[in-house]
Amino acid sequence: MLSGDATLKVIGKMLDGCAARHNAIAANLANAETPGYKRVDVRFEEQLAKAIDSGDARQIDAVRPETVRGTGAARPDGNTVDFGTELGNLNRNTLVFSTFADLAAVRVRQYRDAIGE
Amino acid sequence: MSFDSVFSSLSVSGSGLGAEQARMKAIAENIANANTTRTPEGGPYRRQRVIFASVLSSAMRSGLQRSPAPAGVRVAGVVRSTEPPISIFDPDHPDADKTGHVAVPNISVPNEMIDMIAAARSYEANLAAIRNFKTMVSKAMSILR
Repeated sequence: MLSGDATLKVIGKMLDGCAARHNAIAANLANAETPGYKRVDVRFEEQLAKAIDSGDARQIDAVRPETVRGTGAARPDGNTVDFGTELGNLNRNTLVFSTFADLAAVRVRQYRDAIGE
Repeated sequence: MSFDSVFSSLSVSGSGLGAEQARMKAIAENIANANTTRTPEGGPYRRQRVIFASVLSSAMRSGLQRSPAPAGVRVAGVVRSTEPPISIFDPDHPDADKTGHVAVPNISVPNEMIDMIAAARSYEANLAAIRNFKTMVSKAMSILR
């Protein structure tokens, strides 16, 4: 059953997390020149890894991306955004999202093949 | 994840584009008026500077996301430089005072150019975020295709 598929659940959580992280990176880039702005980051991977290790589908369901204040050295104006790092994160995040979207598509294809569509 | 928060990154990136555009406009005015000695307020032109401030989108303000939340950017204000104008000796100038000195704007064109490059780079970074978002959306759409 699709709704009970732990693999799809994990893929879905990865997509959720990457989407939330994209929001954070977009905000950091928009505020790259705002004095005193502190960069934000999204945490969910450790939580998801723990949930997978537990083998409990409900724990995977409970994983929520968490927006936290990111680390980084402050410039003289108090801003902690580093342009290069942020652009790197942006591209990596999109790549991870694309990879997991492809994985989801493969999974869906498997179900379609199984039901002979 | 709600529909609103999924697409909020677009408005955040959009706010970045708008802010950088405002900064670019101020720089353009500074360069255009680098030699302006007459203004409606009187005296030489004074350098403009755009001040940025971060702002939460309505979806984030309504508490859909816990703090610290990703924020957009807005132009908090445009301030005029309070630095005194540069006085140059040019007795033929119609705006010269009795001693032959003219007050010209305290604007360094090379500095403005560097600022312009930084603004253009920031603008492109926000565009890149929008491009990446489009990639992610089309990828997500293709899952069930």
